[in-house]
Amino acid sequence: MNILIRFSGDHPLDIAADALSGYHRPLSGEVANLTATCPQTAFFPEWLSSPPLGLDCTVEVDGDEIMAGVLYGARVTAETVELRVEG
Amino acid sequence: MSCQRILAQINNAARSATVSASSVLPAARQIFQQQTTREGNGAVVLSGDYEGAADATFDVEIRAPSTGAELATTPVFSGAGNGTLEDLSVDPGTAAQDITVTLVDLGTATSAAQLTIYGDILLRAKAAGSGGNALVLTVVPNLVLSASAVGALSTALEKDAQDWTDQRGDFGAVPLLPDGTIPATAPRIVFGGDLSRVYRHYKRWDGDQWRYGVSPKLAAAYPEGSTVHTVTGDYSVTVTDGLTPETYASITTLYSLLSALPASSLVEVVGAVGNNAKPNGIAAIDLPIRTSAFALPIIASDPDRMPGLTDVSVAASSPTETITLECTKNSPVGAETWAVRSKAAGTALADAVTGALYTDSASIQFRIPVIPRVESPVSGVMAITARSFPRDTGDTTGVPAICLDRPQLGASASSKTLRLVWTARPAADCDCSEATVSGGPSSKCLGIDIEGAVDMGALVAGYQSRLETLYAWRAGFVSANTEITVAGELRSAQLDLQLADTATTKLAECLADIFGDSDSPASGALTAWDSAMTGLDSDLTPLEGVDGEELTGITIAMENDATYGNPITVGVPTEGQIIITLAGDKTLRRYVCLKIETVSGTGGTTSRYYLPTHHDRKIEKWSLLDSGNLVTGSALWQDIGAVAAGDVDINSDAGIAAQPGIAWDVETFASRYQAKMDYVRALAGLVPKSDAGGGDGCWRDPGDAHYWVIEGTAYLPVFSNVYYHSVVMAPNADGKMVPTSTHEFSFGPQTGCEERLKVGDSITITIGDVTANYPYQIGDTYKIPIIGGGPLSFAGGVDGTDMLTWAVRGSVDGALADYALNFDEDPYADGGLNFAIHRGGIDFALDDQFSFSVEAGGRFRWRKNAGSWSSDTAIADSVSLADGLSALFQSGAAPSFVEGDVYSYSVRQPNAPDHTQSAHGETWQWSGATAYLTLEWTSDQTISMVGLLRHGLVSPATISIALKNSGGTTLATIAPTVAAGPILTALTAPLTTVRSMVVTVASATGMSLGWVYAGVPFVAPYDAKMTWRRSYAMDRPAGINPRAAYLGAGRAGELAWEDFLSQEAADTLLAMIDDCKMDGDAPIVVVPQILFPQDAILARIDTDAVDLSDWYEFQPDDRTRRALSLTLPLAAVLS
Repeated sequence: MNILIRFSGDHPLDIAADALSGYHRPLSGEVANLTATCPQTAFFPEWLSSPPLGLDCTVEVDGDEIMAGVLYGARVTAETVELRVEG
Repeated sequence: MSCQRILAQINNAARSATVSASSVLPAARQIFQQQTTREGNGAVVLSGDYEGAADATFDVEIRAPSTGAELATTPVFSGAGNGTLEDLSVDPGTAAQDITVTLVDLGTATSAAQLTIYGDILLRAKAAGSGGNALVLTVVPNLVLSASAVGALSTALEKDAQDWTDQRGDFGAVPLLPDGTIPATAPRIVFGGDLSRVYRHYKRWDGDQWRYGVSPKLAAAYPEGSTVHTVTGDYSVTVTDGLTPETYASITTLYSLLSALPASSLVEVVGAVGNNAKPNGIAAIDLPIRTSAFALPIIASDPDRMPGLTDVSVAASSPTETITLECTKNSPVGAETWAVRSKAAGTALADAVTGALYTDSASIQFRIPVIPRVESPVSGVMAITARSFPRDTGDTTGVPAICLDRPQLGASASSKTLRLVWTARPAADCDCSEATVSGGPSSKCLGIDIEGAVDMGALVAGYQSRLETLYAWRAGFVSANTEITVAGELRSAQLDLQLADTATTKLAECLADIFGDSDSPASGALTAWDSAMTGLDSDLTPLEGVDGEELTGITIAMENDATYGNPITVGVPTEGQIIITLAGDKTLRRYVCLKIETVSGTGGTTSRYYLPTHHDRKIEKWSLLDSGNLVTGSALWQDIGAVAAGDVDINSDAGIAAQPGIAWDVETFASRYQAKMDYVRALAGLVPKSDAGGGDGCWRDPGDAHYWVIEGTAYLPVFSNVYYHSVVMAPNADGKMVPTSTHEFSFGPQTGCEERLKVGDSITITIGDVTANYPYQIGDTYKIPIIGGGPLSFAGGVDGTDMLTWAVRGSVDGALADYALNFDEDPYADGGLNFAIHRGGIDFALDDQFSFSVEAGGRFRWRKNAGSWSSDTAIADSVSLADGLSALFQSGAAPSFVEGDVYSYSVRQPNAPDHTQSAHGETWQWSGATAYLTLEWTSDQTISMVGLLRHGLVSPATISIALKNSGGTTLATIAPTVAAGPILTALTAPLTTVRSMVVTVASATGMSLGWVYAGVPFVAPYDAKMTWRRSYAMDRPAGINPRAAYLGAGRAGELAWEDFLSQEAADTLLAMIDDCKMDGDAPIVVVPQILFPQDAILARIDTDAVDLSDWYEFQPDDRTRRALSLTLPLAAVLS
């Protein structure tokens, strides 16, 4: 399963993720959200110091877009980087 | 030596090699901009796919500007509109300055005329501009009420009512359809005959009961008793600009109109039109527009008693007002008089009469219905309550018997007492009417001047000419019928003149009527009048002149009848014979024999006859006798007036023997002209007069010598045995005093033995208990609310300039040319500035402003991986850097680019060749089908096994691995077969002088290569006990037999060395484990049997704590003598 988070903006970015969790899409149009777990190697530390919160992004699984939203939060651990996306 | 091998990074020489590749697949969307502090508001974007072989950093620094390459900052807008300033550029050499572009004149906007027709539904002229203001919309209803009402309101309905539950309000309602729409079969109804509001009648079940409703909701209040009619028909709608009318027929609902209008070339409907047939939806309401005036429900002051008006017709151009009808006279019943009040009319309107179609108003026609009379409207008691016949003692005359025959009260009756006194008629030679009165009534003196009274000078020509004709004829006729004899005697044909005067009056009254109604009467009426005038002249021509024949008469030997004392003579009268004889009033009168009637049986031959004595100008029958005085028949004699013996009848030129039934009085003869004038009035659209004039005909003087005088009143006298109506003398329209009924009472004074009456006898008649019950009461009112009409006009169309004027100012150059912006939005160019303003969805407003700056030409430099800076380069929209990347300069609000500002970026290369040195799964990807990877060492390397431990190669890809020494000589070439899992090749003999290794892949478009191995794997002195395990990663939820998600599979197992692991091997093994853990738990490859490398297992060390035991309990004093045991669990690397 290939997971890709695609950011827009002046400098578009594609970030590969290892896993998804908490994917939740309500029926009535409320906010959908998910958490993508990415390897630290997908980022530069400088970028992680000020992740572009609020930047538009989409989440694709095996080439299929499952959600369009914004980067809502980023959590960096020793092992991984968790990106919270809300749409 | 063991047959097992363990390949790990610690024994992989590739990890320390210098890696290069023939090509790298460019990386897209992998540029990370780093935060920097800067002053400029411009942006620098790195664009393009990164073709570099490894991750890199780029820096762009803004340098000192130079002239010749000026830039404009991004315009900043302030104001109300949302248009944009685009295509901004600056000519080289333009002075650096701040520029403002300010909207100083809005011009005038062209707009289309429009018309709101219902709610928010809007029609708009297709052609913009003032021409659309000429558009008008006219609605012509073609509606027909049902012949009879389908019901009447039991209770009043309030305005805005939508539905009700009272079943008495069901006038044929149909249920709503399941989707809530009103069926097409729903009846269209109106209340009170008000065609200005048509409703669709439906009903719906609310769960407990039916609710009866109308669509739309009631636009007016309807009183109890209002009739309910169904309506058929449609509307015709015309839209015109005055030149090309468009008519849409068969319109029923508002939706049908809006659906038809798209075909119009003049107007369009703004917005979507939905076929909403639910209550109040536009497809469920009749066209709610009226452009002609109409009347709202008419309000009667007493609707229970007063029927509704009929034949109501409102003129299309009637103004808005309420016309009031008030009953001012409620008799005679069936022809009551109503005052018609209209403020807007400006002039007093004629009274209306019940039962007659009212046409005097230009606004409305109507008919006040006649309420059928079932009994006399006035009741009371009238009877003789006293009789007085005073007689002297010894007077044997006796008293008469008097009673009332058919006493009847009139419309104006009131309780009163009448004393009737038997009175002798005054002597004929003392007639007050014959007295001459000098002067006449003066309006001025009476204070009843009427402003604007018509004088002859104001008469219309047709009226005046006919009056002249009429009165000219009369003057001539009068002249011809009067003369002065030679002897000086004044002679006049009295009856001829009376006839002429009467006829003249009739014709003159008729002229006054028809010209009073209109200055241009119907031509047919005038022609008929002219014909009557000619006829009058022709008829009376024989009467012109005062010559006449001698009065014919007979000298009769009269004798008195022996029995009755009546005069009798010998002879036989003949029809047409005229005789002169002494009448009962002792005057000499002429009589004409009209007819002879004989009787059979008793009598013989007529030889004598009674002479007439009546003196009332009537016809009476007098007997014929035989010689024995037996009656043989009778003669009808008519009194034709008193004469003196020897007179000449100057009223006729010849004797006329009239036929029986012909009246010989002037007034009757004049009726022939009255009849003609009635015909003329009818032709003129006027109601013919019902009365011949000269009194109302309710009273006649029979000429009796005595009569009853109603004492103390102005009533004309009562004659015995003549039915009497209460009458007084009152002026008619001409001011002439004529008998006029008071409409109070009537009775017949039945008098027996009339000869016994004596002057002074009296009776008293009392009228009491008078009550009136008229169909209409004085003060009854009808109020007719009229809503004015007129075509609906479109408005708001404007021919505008559509020009926005922007003032362009520079802080250095000052005022530049204004920018005139029309709808073409042509670009601006002046002072080295070039731009275009485009209008947005929100209009610009005065003082809206764009501001930007012209900045001196900017320069920049760049570097990669913190290397050396490039030379200064002019800033342009796009500048190529390296590795496929370009810098895009985007100006911002002033200042855009400031010297010293730095923009930094990190660029990832996910396809970097050095990913082949990682055990974690990163890959190198190349462009094209063939590529090669070179690993180089600076010192000789010993290599016994090479392999591609992780890869994305599949058939038909091929692999070739060449090992070379420092001289470039190929030491060995290996061509392993592409297969899943680690691809390993053990060299037959280790190579110790390897300086480079070249891995070539072919037919491998889009494939990848990961972890590459070249080295000497770990081998223990003795085999470890080994377990293989096929592992699967399945993600499954809780529950019984849940279906799981397959995540991947791999091979795992366990290596266990028991008591035979030397300390040296253990040290090597632990060093390998340490290296793996420190490398992020990097995987290893275990080859169970060196002869079968295809069985290699890619796995991770599945423990973070490794137990190491010594069979000797670590007691030997020589470490080499230890017999160690170690178990190494392996977890599969899933793929």
